[in-house]
Amino acid sequence: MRIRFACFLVALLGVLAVAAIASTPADTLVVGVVEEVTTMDPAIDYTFGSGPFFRAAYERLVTFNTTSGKIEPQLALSWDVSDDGKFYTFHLRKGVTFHDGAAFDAAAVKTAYDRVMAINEGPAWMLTSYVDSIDVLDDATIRFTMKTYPFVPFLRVLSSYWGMCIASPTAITQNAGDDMGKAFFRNHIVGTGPYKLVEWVEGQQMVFERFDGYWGGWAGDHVKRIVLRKILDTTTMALLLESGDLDIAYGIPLDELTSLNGKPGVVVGVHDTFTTNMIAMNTTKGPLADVRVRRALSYSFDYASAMEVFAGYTTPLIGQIPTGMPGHDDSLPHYVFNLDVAKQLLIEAGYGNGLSLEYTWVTEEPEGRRVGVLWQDTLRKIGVDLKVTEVTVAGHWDRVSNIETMPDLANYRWGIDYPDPSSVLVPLYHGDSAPPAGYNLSRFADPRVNAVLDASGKEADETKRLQLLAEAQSLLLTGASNIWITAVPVTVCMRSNVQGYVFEPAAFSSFNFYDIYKK
Amino acid sequence: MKAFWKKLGRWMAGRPLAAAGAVVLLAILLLALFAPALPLQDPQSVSMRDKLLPPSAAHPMGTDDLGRDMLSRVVHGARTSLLVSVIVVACASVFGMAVGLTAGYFGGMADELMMRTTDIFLAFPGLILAMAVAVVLGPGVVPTIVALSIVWWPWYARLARSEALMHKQADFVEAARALGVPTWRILRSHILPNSLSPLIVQATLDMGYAILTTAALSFIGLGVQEPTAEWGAMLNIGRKYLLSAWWFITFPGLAIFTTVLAINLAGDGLRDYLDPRTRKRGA
Amino acid sequence: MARYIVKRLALLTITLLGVLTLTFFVSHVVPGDPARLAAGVRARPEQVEALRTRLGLDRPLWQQYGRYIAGVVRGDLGESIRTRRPVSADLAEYFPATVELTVFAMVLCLLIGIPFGIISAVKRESVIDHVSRVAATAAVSMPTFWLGLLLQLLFFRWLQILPATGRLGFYLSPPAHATGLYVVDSLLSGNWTALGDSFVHLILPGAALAASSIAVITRMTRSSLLEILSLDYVRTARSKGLAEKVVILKHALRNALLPSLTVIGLQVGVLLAGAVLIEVVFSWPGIGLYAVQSITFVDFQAILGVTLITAIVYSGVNLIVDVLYGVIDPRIHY
Repeated sequence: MRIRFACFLVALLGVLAVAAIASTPADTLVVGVVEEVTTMDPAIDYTFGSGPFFRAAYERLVTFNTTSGKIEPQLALSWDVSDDGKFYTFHLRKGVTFHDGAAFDAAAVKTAYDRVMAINEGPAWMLTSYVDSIDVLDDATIRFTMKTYPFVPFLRVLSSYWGMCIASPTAITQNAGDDMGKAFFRNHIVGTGPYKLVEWVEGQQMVFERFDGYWGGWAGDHVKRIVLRKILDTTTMALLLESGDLDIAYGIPLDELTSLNGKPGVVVGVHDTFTTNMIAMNTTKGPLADVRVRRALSYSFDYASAMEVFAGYTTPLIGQIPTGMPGHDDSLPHYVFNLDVAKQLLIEAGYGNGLSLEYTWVTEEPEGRRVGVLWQDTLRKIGVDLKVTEVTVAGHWDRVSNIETMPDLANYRWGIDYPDPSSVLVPLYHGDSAPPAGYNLSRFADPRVNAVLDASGKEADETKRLQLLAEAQSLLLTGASNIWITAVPVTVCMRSNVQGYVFEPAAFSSFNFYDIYKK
Repeated sequence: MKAFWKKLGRWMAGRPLAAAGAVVLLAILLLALFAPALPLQDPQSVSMRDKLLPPSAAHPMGTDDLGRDMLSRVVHGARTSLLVSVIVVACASVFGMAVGLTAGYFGGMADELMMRTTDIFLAFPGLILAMAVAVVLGPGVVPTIVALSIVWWPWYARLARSEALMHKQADFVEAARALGVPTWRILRSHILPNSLSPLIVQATLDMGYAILTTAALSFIGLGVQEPTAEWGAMLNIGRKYLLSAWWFITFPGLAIFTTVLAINLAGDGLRDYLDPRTRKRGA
Repeated sequence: MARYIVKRLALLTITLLGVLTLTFFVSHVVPGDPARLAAGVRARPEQVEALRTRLGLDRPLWQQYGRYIAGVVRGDLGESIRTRRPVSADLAEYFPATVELTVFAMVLCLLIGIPFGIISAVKRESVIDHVSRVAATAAVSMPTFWLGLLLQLLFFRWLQILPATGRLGFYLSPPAHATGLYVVDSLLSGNWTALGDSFVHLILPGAALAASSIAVITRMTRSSLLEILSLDYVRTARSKGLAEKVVILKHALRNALLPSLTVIGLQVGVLLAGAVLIEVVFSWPGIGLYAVQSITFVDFQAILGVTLITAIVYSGVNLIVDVLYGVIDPRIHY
């Protein structure tokens, strides 16, 4: 009996050993991801978890090229904008079919976007706020009539992969049921993209296979299958990449990269995203209503040490717009760590004897804890007592959305909806964007900022627009409504034989699967 | 008094484990009490350059993810853990005792109501209820105490009830009732003193359990907040560095283990000494 | 006996109703707007309001409560705002993992706890007895989750012989679904690779979870066996010249295990509670992990679902233990 058990154990260890030396098939790309997927419906999903599979299987009218900062055609070949900005007319690509065989045409675009607007959840506001109607002009031509115009960033809005993915009209009508197809599209993808979904084991993996009818064709180097593995534990993920069980590991925490650095066959990638990390100061009440106190706090923040919280992989945010996005300006002034200046400003404001403030951070964003505790330790030296409170996402939203419960200081992140500076500045700093309408947590309301932002949304001339954006950012820095910490880096580590990957800060959780291949 | 100590000493000599537990516990209590006066580094002093350093002469237990001295934080953590668990046990036992004694003594509807209420509290794992309550109240030391007390009082209520049931039939209680002594006075001067000893033994034994549960709550991230040093919270953070910084989870866990072990050993001794009939409860 | 069971079941129903009521009202005062969370933090106010109406969150609390209880009676536990699925579907997916882990831990408890209890009792005051006493006190003094972390450090990080997280190795697909318990399912479908691998994945979390209960069961077995061994009939059996082995295994053990039954039943509750922490440490996709995720998301339909199912199991086990007690011991009448 005992011997048999020992044999069993040996056999088990053998299985493990075999697993340890295996590597992925040459035509299959195995990607480890951390985010939970709760729905694949493009009308509903509004999370970063959808990046990988939307990009694999769905397409949009236009896309945003990060390198050039330009809008490029995808399902639309070209477009005209009327002089007053009221009409956007798209000329569509021909000969495109959906995974279910349905043909792609103007009616398909209308069906897909009308569904998004009718469901009116998650990302739908990006259409409903700006679009008055969508009209089919002919099979290959579709026209969007705008509600408010001119609205310059509209093409960039359409390049977002939230809400803008075009699903098959056949699938939409056949599976409408009594919930507009929400049950069906929760776990089905019927798009025009290069890969089609063949399996989804919830909470575990998604398997995609090459779609033979893809309009782009399959000449050149591509992979045949894509496996997205959800891995709960990032330590395991790092080990799997090291052993060659994963081709790409997305989302390993920065602190855990030390275990991968210098490992043979592994390329560690850390990239700054367009998601920014700030601390909002409540400008409506208490000591922080005084701009001198806010400026004092801006000088009391140890920016260099805070970068260590991000394992030294990033740099302090200059202005409000992250690097790489149009409107980012390295020449803008920025606050530096100087406790003497901070102390002096506090004395001027009448807080020479100290004051007490509350800082909150969100559980899901663990850097907030370390930023808070670091700052707390610094602030002790100038007589400021910082109370550091952890909040859940729910608790955070509850507290910041009500002016009575808004903490003095709230650490938060903002990921853009579409790759345009207006998706940063308007929701965060426009006076009309106080919660719940937007995410202006500090309730900073400067009429000059509002005017400049309103003007920049209408300014079609790129140079003039950039000047307006620079002006807005300078005004915001003077107002010191936030501590601007950094653009949040993400990690995309891969095996060295994986080629063709291009990081996109606007859609950082997605992958350009069609261009990726293995050597 | 002298005789008591002598007796206790002799009794202890026969039970080396209990004696060892008591000595260790006393040492931990003293450490906790005098932590601020000890030559330790500031447990709150952050130094990002020194983060995640392995144990060395400068930092005998290494440093945490903010470069804080682990030794200092582990010692200061004893203050939090001990304080929270003493208060939790005190609150839960006083409230539970009051409810249990009253219900047991009066019987009838009051008793039935209490039994059914405690049924509800005992019908699911306490940790889940404590988690829910902790989310409602928000994080921090006080919410942790309240959450755990809410979960724990039924145990004491049950115990106190059975004591009251036992003592209310006793001759001296019957006699007091016959003499027309007011009910509250019977409860206070007859039932309570006679029920106290098993309750105290139970409360002592529960101290260790209270430390474990406090740590568990913080481990899930619902308990004590930064920068307060607390063992469970340290484990919660340290878990993320399991592969790269073994010292981060090892020392706080060792602290919990040692303290609870000391309490259990000493508590077992105390139980044998005071009240051989109490049994340790299961959950 | 039947009357007793019916009475207990009636009481159980009342208790469960109480549990649901308590949890319902506790979870509805949690800070955080569920409609806002379900709609996504960036949803426009009108979208949030539309969703609030759809989920019935705009109604007075007592109406929501009524609707919920009515739903539960029909077997409808509502929809999770986090996973966007019926809570019953979520539970069906997560609960088997917890069952598998708990049952495995219980098997460990019995396989290790009872033999060690017997040895400690028979060889009373021997080295083994002392070691088992110290080990037992140590095991109940150790935080379950810390033990889990230590085991991961030792067997996964340093020795590299056992996996630290999850239910199955990276390459394997779950066996054909029958019970949701991977070990059972892979046995049923003859999938030996999955069987071995799911078993290997159970070892560390199972051992960490079982440790303190093993200690309790060992000590309980020891003390009740000692009590029985001092009784007259055992002495009689011995004096008749029966082999010690026979005396202990045939005569004493059966009666000694009876009081242990309650303790074992109680340990099911302890294991269930401990599973919450162990599942977090080992990324084990059971209802404990589900509960923790739901609580931080203020997903109260899910919280209620978890509460209900644990309460049913917990009270159910207690009921079974009490009934079995009556069946085994003829002296007890209900």
